[in-house]
Amino acid sequence: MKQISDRWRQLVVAEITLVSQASPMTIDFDSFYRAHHADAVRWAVALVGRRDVAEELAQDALAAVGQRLPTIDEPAAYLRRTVVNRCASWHRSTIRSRRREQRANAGEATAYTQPTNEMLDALNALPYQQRAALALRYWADWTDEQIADALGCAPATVRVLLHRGIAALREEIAR
Amino acid sequence: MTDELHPQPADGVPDELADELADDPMIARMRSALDEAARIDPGTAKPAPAPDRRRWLAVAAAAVLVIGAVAAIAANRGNDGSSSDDSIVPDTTTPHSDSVPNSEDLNLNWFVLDLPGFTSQPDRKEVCCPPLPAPGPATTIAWGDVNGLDRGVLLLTVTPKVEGEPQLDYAWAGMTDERAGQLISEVVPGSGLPYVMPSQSMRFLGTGLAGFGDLRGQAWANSDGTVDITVGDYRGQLDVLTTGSVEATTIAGQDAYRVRRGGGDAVVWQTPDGHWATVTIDDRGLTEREDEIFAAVEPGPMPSAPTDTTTVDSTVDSKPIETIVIPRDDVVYKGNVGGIIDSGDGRGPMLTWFWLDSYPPQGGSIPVEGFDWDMIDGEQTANTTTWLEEPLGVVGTFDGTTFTLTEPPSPPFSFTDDVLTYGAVTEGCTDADIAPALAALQALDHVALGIIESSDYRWDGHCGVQLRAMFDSEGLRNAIRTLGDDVMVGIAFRPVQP
Repeated sequence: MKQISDRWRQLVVAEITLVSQASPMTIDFDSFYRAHHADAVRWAVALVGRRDVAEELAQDALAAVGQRLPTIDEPAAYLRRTVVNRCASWHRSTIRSRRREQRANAGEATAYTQPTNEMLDALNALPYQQRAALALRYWADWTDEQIADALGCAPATVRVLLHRGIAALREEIAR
Repeated sequence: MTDELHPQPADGVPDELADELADDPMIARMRSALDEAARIDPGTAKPAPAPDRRRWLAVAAAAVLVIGAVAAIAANRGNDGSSSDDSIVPDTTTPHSDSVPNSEDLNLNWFVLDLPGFTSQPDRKEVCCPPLPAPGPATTIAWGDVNGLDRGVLLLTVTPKVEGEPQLDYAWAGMTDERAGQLISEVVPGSGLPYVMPSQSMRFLGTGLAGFGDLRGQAWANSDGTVDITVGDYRGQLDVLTTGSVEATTIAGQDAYRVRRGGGDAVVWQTPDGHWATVTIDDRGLTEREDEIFAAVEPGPMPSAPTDTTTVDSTVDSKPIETIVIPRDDVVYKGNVGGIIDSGDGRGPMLTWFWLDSYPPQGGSIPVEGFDWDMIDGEQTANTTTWLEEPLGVVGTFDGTTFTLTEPPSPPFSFTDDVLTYGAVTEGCTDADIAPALAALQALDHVALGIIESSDYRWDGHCGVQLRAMFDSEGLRNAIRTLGDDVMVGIAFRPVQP
């Protein structure tokens, strides 16, 4: 996976370099990538619960942000929004395939321990915004304001999401 | 209670108050699970599946957060809130906020029967909603085949119960029972609507309180019978499709669906402004003229432009308050939205703050003009829906129904006065403490006040309700004063300072 990641990064750097040739602005995507790749993967893990999917989504998000680096005032904030958006899209587009996968994998062991399986099941059962608020706030250590910015809601709404999310998580775990 | 809204720092919450969830054992379990998930390399971990069905109460708890995007409210005026939490209904002993309106108050596309020999009857208007006892009204949700309602329409009626899970009743038309059964098996609880349809073959059509909602109606009669036209919120009009055979047609230049039935045919269609219209013919002697009658239905006079303010009775204290929050349309506003969506249903692109859990997503709060998809990057398309699910900053004017961009969308703005607080921290919060404020909140006219979202609010000692509205206004501030002593308020749009 590391080789694939490095190769992918080289391609993106090359792409950004081509873009930058048309602009006198210096674009240091490589530094941006190095600084934010690990965070982006961590955020995506919080949102999808799978390392493999998180790697792909984080790279997609970094590529999308990289293409806009010359015009973005706050690249880190933009990356947060993009990761949250990409993960939301993944959840949407995989609703049905995940159900099929659930049926296909019924009764099989997974690579995770049982407590982790239970928690990931419960998180997957939450509405996306609740899951995002809980995981980004208490695992990825985002502030309420950062979560609000990424979800497009008010900070007060984030706190409501947290409040309702923890209640819903308890219900799911108790089932 | 204080007299005015007091701007606070960005989050409006005192720093010294502790985050009571941080040390919750459930949070610790979540951290541990995500730590493990983050360590596992790809290829070995299998996804954790979502359960097929979740309990209604869990959904209701989530859904109460979304009292409604303004689009859903605009299309289904009066639907806000009541379908989100069946445990909270307006006090039946208090007067409702809306008195009987003038004819122009129902801001709807209108249709008339232009046929000699028919006499128009008095205009009828129903304004949502009369006081409703617990557990509140049923909600109806409609989905249609992406290739046309004559290829299939599925209707779900959710009837709340005082105790226990709600009753779910399905009806369908234009499809086999087998396909209906398959689609029903795919319906899942949503975070915005109580239930959503993930199937890509179906699209969301409308939702509203079953039998309740703003409605304008008029009948035209002659000695042989009566033709009745209604326009208004979605309140289950598509139910008529299940009473006969369905075929696609046009009426008044609009795509429509005609149901052929023994007791007189009916036509139902969605109007350009997103409302729902029906024409029904009684069977006393007009059967032979049905085609002629439907062809004589024409667009009526357009509604008058929205007014700046109006005065109606208060829901709580019966004092007159301003409730129509339509800013001046010559003022430029800026604010943040959750994205843009064009559902391909003729309404065009719409700004939205909320997304329903479906693919493609469903949403759309207010129509936006001056927008082109070339202005942004990253939009997605599935079926007839194009969307960008990403917070955006928008600048433009608002005429009461449509936001007109004056410059292309941008990354979201950072506002330092995003949250206003009203009142003080309340200690020892219980459900009973919040119930009156929640009831008052649900009784507000969310459309008129431009309220995007609202819910109860318990955080860092606050024990009240929170809401976010499109615009700050005196009408909003007056309404907020009816909500008790602890209210958090967010404003989406604010005037651009010269």
